[in-house]
Amino acid sequence: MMDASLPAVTVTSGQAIFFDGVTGVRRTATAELGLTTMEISAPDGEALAAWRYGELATYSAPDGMLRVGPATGPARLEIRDRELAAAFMARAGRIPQPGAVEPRTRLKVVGWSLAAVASALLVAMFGLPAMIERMAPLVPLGVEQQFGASIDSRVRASLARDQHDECGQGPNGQASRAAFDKLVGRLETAAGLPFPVRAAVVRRTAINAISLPGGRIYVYAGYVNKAETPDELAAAIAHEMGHIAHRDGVRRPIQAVGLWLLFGPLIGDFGGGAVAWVAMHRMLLPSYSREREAAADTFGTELMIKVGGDPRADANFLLRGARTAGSTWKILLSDHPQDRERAAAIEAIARAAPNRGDSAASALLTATEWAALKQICQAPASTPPATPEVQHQPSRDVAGAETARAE
Amino acid sequence: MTALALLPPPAPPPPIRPARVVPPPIRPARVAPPPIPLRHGATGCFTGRMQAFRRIMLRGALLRVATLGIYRFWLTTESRRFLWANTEIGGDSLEYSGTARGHFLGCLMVIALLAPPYALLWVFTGAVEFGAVAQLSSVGGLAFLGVVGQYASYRARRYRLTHTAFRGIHFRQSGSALAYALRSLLWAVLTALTLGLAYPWARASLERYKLAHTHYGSWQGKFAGSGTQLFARGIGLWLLLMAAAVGFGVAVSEFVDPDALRRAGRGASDDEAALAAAQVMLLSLGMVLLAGIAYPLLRAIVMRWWLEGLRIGPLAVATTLRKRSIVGAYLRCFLYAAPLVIVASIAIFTVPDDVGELVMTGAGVVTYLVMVLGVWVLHQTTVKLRIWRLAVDSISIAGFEAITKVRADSRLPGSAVGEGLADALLTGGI
Repeated sequence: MMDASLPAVTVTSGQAIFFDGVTGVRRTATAELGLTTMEISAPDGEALAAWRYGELATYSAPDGMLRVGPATGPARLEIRDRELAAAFMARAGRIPQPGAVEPRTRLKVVGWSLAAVASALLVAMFGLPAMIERMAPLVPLGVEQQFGASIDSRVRASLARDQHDECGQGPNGQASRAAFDKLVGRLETAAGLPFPVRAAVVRRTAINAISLPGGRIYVYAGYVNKAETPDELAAAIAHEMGHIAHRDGVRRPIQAVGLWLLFGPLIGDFGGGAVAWVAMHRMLLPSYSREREAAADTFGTELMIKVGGDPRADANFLLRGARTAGSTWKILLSDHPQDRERAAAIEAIARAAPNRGDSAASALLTATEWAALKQICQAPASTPPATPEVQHQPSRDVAGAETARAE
Repeated sequence: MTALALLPPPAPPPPIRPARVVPPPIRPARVAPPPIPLRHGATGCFTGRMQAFRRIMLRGALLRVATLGIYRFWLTTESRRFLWANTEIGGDSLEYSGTARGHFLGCLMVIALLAPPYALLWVFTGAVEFGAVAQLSSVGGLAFLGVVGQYASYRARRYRLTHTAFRGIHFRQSGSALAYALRSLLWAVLTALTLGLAYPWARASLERYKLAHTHYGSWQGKFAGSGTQLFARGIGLWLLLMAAAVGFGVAVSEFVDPDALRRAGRGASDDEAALAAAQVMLLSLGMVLLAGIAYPLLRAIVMRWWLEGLRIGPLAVATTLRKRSIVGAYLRCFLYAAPLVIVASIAIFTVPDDVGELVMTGAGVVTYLVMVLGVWVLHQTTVKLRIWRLAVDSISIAGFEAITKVRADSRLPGSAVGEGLADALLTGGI
């Protein structure tokens, strides 16, 4: 049991400071190390305590001091005599050190932390999606609509710097608006969505379309401009209807809460938190949103087949590389290869479709209607903007439109 | 080799009783530590070395990254053990008996308790976020968070005190965390309404509550400082800040062209807009610098006032803490941290664009970690440790000879959930 580094002649008694744990009195005391007990006595011979080694623990102390006391009591013996301290440790053997952080403890903490993070990652990758799949249909439609309304107000505020931002308003835009509504109406009738769709074209140059919880769809003016056929525009709306039909608007918040519960409280810490955040955004979210996009693509393609449109319209659009992603992150994460994959998946569904969609004329809109729709954002609003300062600036991108279609 | 040669000639100690079975021969103790005489007024002394603390913090910072932050419970424990053990008063050091495991479990417990209400709150605010309800709920939510934060900090203080002992006697805390939290909410409102003028009385009231519910064995604490005292010491600083704020407002309205500024805000880059933006930026920088000096000063004033007001039983604390040393600690931290931040920022901008996304992200994360962890370690060592040391070294305690009269009192319970709430909210103290 004896440590080899100890001097050959080991002390068995020495001076120390004793606190009885009952009063604040500090006493100089003599500690005598027996085989199984340490006896502590005052200089005048008065016995102060007799502690069995098995009941003792060492406590936090400054360098050069050994602080010993009962594992369950407040009395303490402070040994500064190094030889006595060494002799005590040799006698006491393995002794509890409550609160001490030793190298072994650190290794254990690192190991368990990694295990915990790995298990949380597994849950986030497999358990959470399965849970969302079961929970999303259980959210009442009314709750989703209310939730959507709250998001809508924020999205509109960021989309539209003024209230004239929605295209096709006023008498001049009537024909365009009618064509757009006809297109949306045909799709909606065939789609069988849980709630009525409210779609609009907004004056934004990005080539994008977004959907919000509760049936809101915003098509950006950039998309309308870039679309070469009514079917290409219809395909975008059909895709967004896929998100609405699958209730992706409520899946997202459930996912956010779930991820927070898994990762938030324990590792919400500057250093580790940052690493976890990057890992999550690079690994978990893209794969999850890819899956949702694929589902919406399938829905959209099937919907296009149902309404007699060109099921390949979206694939063509994707392959032209026409779509711009919402942010740098999105460009990084959903690069062109992914667009190609999506186009291929759409193609696979389209191949099985009865309608070829390769006729020159669209089944969805007449040429006149399509021409009017293309003009939807050209017609000036009925009333002029209130002040020149808040005039629309087409080049600026707005944060908050991150629920981008390209996600 | 034997240590015997180094020792004074053996003089067997007075045989108090026959030693039990002791195989090696009985030897006298080496030079026994001289008993430290009790003076009227013991002084504080910090015995820890900076290097040891820096090592704890550096290692802790790395382990925090390796464990995605979970190591923080162990780091807190390590740091407290170091600070407590090296804080000597009248020659005896404090003992910290908290454990990281207790912290960790407490945090887990609170997460388990808070998670369902949090999820509900999330869904609820998501659903009713509109209009007046939203306005009300955001103000209410802020107040609620404030109250919860104060509640948590009071609970955390209780854990710290019940796990602190001095000369074999434990500290305890009574009182209600909820009462404290509500009290601090009321004072926060009053302080905000008076632009900070009520702060001294707010602080005094809260300290009185805390100290009156602090116990060292059979002794009760008391806070003797008054709000008026603090007000008198801090009013100059307050006036200076107010004057600076008014000056800032006047300067902006007098010299900066508001139209140009608005255009600059929208990204315009003509000369006038750039000038206006530069003017505002310069003025703001001045305000930030002023705040950077005012904060350490305020801290120093409050800390001195607080130390002088501490009473426990018959013990009264006095301090020789000087403002300039506290300000110096902050200044030192700033001087060390600034180059680190600058170098790290330059490093991240010099990564070439064509290295690929993965390398870019990796470089960004590494630089971020180096910068944040570096600044954090610097703050811990140059500000936190230094101020702790300055405070401990500056105090002297009158009436210390009465320390022998204090008696243990275990009627007040310890804390069952540790600092769980504070840990979950990341509002824990030192």
